[in-house]
Amino acid sequence: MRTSRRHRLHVLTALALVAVVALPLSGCGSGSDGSSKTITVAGSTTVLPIAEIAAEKYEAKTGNQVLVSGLGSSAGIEAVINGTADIASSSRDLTDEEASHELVSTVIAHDGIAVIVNDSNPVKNVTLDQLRDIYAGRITNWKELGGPDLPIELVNRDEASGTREAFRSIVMRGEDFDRSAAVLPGTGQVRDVVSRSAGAIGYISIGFVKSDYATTTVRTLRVDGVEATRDNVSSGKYPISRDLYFFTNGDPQGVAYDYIRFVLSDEMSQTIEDAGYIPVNWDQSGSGDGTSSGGEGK
Amino acid sequence: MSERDDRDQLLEGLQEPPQIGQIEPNKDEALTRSARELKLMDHSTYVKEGILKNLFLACALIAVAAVALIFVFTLARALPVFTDIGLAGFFSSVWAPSEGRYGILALLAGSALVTVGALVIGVPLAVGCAVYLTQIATRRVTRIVSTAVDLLAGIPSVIYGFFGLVVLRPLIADASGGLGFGALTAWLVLAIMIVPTITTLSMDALNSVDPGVREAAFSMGATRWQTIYKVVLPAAKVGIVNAIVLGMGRAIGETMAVLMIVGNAPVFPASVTSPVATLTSQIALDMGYSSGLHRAALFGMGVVLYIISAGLVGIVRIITGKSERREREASRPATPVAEEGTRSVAEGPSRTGSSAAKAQEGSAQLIKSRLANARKPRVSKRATDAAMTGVFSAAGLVTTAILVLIIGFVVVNGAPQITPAFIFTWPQGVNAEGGIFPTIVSTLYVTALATLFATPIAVLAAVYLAEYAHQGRLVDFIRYATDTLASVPSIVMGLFGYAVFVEACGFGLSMLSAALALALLMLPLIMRTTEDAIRAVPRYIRWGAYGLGATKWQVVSRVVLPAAFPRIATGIVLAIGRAIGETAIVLYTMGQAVNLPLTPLDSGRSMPVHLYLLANDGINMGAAYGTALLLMIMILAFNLFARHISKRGARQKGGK
Repeated sequence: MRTSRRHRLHVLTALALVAVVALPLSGCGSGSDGSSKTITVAGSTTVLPIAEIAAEKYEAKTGNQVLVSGLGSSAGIEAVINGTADIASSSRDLTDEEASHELVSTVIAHDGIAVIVNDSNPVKNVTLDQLRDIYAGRITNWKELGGPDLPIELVNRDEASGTREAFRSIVMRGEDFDRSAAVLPGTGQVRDVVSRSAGAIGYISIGFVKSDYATTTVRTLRVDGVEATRDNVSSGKYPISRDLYFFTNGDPQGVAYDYIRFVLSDEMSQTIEDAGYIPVNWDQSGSGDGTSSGGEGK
Repeated sequence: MSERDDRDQLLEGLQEPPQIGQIEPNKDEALTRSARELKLMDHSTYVKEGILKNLFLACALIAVAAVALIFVFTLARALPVFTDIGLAGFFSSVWAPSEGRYGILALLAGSALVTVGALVIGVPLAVGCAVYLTQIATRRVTRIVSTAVDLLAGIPSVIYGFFGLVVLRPLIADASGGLGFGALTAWLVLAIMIVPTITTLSMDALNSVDPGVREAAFSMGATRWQTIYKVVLPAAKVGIVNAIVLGMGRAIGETMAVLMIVGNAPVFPASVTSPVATLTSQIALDMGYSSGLHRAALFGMGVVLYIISAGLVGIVRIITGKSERREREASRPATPVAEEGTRSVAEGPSRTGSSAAKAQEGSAQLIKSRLANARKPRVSKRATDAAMTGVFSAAGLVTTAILVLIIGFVVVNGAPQITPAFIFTWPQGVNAEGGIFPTIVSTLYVTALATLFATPIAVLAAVYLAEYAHQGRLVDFIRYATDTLASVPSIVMGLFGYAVFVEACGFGLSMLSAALALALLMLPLIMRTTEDAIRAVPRYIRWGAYGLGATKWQVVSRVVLPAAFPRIATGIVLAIGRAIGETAIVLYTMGQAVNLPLTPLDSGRSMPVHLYLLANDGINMGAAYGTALLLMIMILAFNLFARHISKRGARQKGGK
């Protein structure tokens, strides 16, 4: 009796140990489950609203699961290259290095990047050159732009951000950002910080300038005299605009193909418009493409 | 938390049978061996005992292996940066990954600035608080304030960061005219975060000063302030210095809170209100998208952080070792348990009563000379006493007020968000409307898995250290490794977890990867509390069992572990609380997609990560407050539960 109980205790201990050791190992073996209809979309936080709403609607429609995460465009492209994601959402085109990997791109929408300042800031207009000088750290006070004697507080995005990449290629044209700028990892945070600091300047996607959630407001600057509106982006007048992309490793197939087609469908274009972007089929004749790809050239 | 209770019980346990206490732990082994010689133990039992012993040793060595592997893997992944740009390039001042420049000096300067400022603010507050709690406050007040301190320690760093971001940053922005990001904001938040660490450890040091010393000082006419300043503080100096060094390690290694409030500009700080970046914040910011040399540089920064934290643990050991050697020499014949004083640096540097003998012998002279050397006071000593007592009480009050403020802030803003729908539905739409159900499940899933990995290994390792091991070099080494493991910054564990579990093992971004990395966080915590708990079990109980013919394993499994169970459970529950709130480790090991995990290989987003991302997006702040509140409720519940277990355990013991 006593022996058997002791024996049982040992067996239990041994089993527990085996379980602990075996669990990770067994995990190693059963790594892939290709049969399930789940795809992963990773990448740009700018594209997040489109990708997520499309995922919800698509799931409701077909039952296939679409996992969407916003890690930044570069992370998403990296994820597709190394196979951890099926689709990369990106708010910028591929870099030369990324382009060497057989990726197939699909333009899903157009977007403009608004330059935002505090409501109390009287400055109304900047030129692209001034904007570059501001972000390169050469113009450091609003009085140089006809405003009050107030230091300019630069707000930049993190390097994973596609918005930063687009802004860099269109506005900075090969110059480096002033590295003493605050680097914030999210659009909403940039908006919030600018809305509360008199001397701050930042840039966010036009879709986020007005937000139902925010309790504070920001004002957009005209760039080269052009107001940051969707009409001006779609007509190609507004200089800081870009395309939003999906990238896949090779031609999209199966659920991924289906999902991308859904994003491009008429059903989604209203959603894309509501989110502040310009759907592709709406502005076929516009020149959003021209502006943005012209800016990409190095 | 119950470190103080633990220590007291440990002392009780050691002191209960005064003469018996002189017998060394490895006498137990001698007893076992003689039992075999007397043919009371058959051969198979002997073999089984041997196997078990080696199994436990293997568990104990896992901690050592983890410490070594973390260093080796991080260094290996960092090598390209050292070979490509060289040490000179790595320790240069320009951090600009897009230009291929990876100099970390500005980041090091940022880390140093942030840490020093946090210490300048936090140390007086924490030491003042410890003095107040141990020397001035009534028992009732002590209980309330020390609960507050323990709860502050339990609040996850992402909530501190969130608090700094939405409360302190706007205040500082208004006051300075800048953006509010920068060293100043980080100082305030980090100071709050290191207060619990320093306070708890300083209280241990102050409590271990013999009460006779204080009484003697009072009886010689010293005021309370004079006693504290001239007698008690000098006597507890070593312990307090250790506490500060460990607090410093905490500040250097802190990631999430710093990331959210420093502004992340990788330049030498122009002022305390301009954006800066630290080593930890830059790793966390860049890890998601970096590749090639850039990623190698991040691992290189991990190596630097590792060396700094291991170095700080080493410093503590040296300081403690020196003071203990001195004390042992001063009181050679009286303290047979002195050797136990060297252990568990990170928990309680001088937990044994080894200073007692010295204190009793020399206290009269010590006090006389200390008081005689006092300069003639310019103000009346009574006024000074009243003023200083007030200052210490203020420190205690401020700490409690901060806790109330933070909890109040989260509760007031979060409570309206908490509805059944918020808890049980999925987030949806552009801005994560709806609930956070999958993140709750992911959090519980990964924590349970990590507990499953960490607990058996940690408990068996502690059994080895407390029951089987010869108290010598090996045990010392294992303890050093455990202390180092406990001090490795969580972002470095995240790097390691990413390199090993996500990539090398091929588990991908998954519950499993995150759980294994989290287990490394929990391992030293559980090991330490379990070892303390086992040691607190009085020896005579063991001898009783041996006397009845029990084998070593029988004694351990039937007598010692059940007796130590309440306190082991306390340790496990506290470690679970830590794991639930951990962000930096899971950020890049678990994935960030909202997902309901089923198998261990599924990815998901934990609640702290959800909170971090919501705070970053800065759009749907309501959901962020709600998540913060739920997270805090879960963790505080675990902490209070742990206190409850340890109290009940103590009561049961007292009642017997």
